[in-house]
Amino acid sequence: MAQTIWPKVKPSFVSSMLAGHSALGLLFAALIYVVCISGTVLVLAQEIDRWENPNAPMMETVEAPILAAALQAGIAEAKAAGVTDYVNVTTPNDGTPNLSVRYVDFATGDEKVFALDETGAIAGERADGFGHFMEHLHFYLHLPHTIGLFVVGLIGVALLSSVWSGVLSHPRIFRDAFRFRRGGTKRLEEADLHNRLSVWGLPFHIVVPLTGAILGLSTLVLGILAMAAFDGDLERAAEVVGGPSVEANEAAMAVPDVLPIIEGLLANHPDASVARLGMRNIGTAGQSVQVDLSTADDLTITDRYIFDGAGTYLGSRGFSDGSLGNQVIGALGPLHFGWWGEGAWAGLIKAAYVILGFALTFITSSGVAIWIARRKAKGKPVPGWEKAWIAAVWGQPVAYAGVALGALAGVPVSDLAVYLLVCLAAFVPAFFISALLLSRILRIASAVGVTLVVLVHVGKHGPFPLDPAAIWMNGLLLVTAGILAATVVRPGEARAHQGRSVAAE
Amino acid sequence: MIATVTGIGTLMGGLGSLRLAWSRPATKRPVMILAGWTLVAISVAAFGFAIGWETGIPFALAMLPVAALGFVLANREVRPRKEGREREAVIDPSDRKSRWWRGVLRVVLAGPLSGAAAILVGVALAKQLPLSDVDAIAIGGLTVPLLWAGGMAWTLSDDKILRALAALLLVSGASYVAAFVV
Repeated sequence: MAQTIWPKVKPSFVSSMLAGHSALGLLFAALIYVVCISGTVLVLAQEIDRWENPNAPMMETVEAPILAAALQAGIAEAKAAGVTDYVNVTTPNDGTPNLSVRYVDFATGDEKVFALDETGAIAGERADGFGHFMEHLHFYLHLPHTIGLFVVGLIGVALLSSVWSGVLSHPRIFRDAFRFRRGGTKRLEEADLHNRLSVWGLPFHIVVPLTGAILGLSTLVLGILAMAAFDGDLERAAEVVGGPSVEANEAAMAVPDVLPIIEGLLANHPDASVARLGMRNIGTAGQSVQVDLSTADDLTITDRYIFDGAGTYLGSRGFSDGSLGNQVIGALGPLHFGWWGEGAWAGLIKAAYVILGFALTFITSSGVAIWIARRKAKGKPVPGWEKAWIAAVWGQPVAYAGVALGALAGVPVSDLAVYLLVCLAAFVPAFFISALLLSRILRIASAVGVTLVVLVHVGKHGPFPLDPAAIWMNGLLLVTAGILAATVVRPGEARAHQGRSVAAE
Repeated sequence: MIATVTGIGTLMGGLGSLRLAWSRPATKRPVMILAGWTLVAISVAAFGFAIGWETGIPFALAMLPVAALGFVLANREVRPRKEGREREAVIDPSDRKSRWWRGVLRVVLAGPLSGAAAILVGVALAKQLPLSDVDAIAIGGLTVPLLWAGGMAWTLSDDKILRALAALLLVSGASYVAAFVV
């Protein structure tokens, strides 16, 4: 065996680190798993959006007058619904080849999204049931927003902490960097895969939880830091971090003409294009216009330019050309989700993020499987926990398929209720059958569920809808279903696992 | 195009060199490791040159793990299955005395105390760094989760729990002084 050039790490140190790594992983395993798998799905949020609206009018570019018309159409819809808080137009430069408008009531959380045609007129309501559900699962765990964001931020810290203790508890991190043993004992087999995915994915495994933790804890951390730095002046703090804002004023005011604003901005930024156009507190003296310009070379993707109700320029967030701090804040989201670059580069980045996201999800799952195998090897098996973990792990894809089916079919049932019911239902068979059978049944259920999603989608939108991304997504889903089914029916796999632990399958 | 091809080539070459260096005893191992990481660094630079530094460097850092995992997969070594109770040479987590107060103290240390210490360090940096407001806040903000996670890892791992408590209190106190007194 080759000798390492690094100093030898004491086994007692590794032992202590492993104890911490194990305790933290087991304590947060289920939550980390849910956040990881939902985040991996959300890397494809734009593709999911296109898949949910495969026949929406498609376009490559939108001229400024059409944007202005689209905003007016959105404002009219919002006013008809009694909403004046926020209206936002999304253009084909924001990741999907569609024009859409959304209004939001911040007090109630109510929001609606509409597809627009090439003239900027409303073409119909845009479906976002599954994508919206996944966003709220990953961002808030469907808890009240402030609490949910904080909990998800804490999970990010816990995951980052697991990365630190995992690295420190790996005395042969380099020497074993390419070693991948299958067979032997279950524990060593799982540990090998866990360690290889962990070590080589390290840049990703640090960046994603770190940016996620900052985004989740932003209210607390940036709030405290800004208060400390600005001696409690929260308005100034918010302005430095998020760009200028207009003071609330309920007095009535005419909605400004946004066309000269857009044209002026584009004249000053010839390399950029409008990604989003928004307006806040519409029709009041406290209204403001926000124009998000995108530049392909920027990691931050967009920068926001803010105007008051009279159309006077107030400033930008500085994500594109501000100081390093502004740009770092602006890069957190793109780095977290893999949403940067354009064309084929953007596709490769997303593919890498999906692969590494599933790797992180698998690392979480196999971490618990290693603990279960270790207990078994020590003669202290935990069959109840093994079944519970299988149900938690494989219940997720089944539940996602359930939510997607409900959203596609337009079933008037809460998507959260569907999700929770399916998650709970995954635990029921655990009381009656073996861990191996439970794992297989849930994998088959996942494969069947995903296939059903594709069938219902094709039934609703046809096999060849307008947007080719929907066809690709259906193909990807069928491949996923095939892989899930193959893990159950592959004869070699079945023989290999007879009578053994299956928690990490 | 040339930069992209260079990026792909040097990435594969670098990983190949590392793979060879760590797979067998060789006198040239340090040279191969150095060559491997140098090629990887050149690959990162090549992608930066190809698609722009701001997006190219993170692109290369996202591609490196995927390419490396391809090498790992190619290095798959299948062995006969052993029974579950057979032990291999692995290090086990340390067995600790399970007393309830130690568990509670560990949770307090890893959660609120590590968090408070990390935030105080962040505040101290935000107030004392000779940078613009937003730069100082960004650095302080980035530091908080990194330190919190580090504190959490350490307090959950250190078998001497009172040592961890003392260190956290010391860091918090020093940061408080740096942030609000100095």
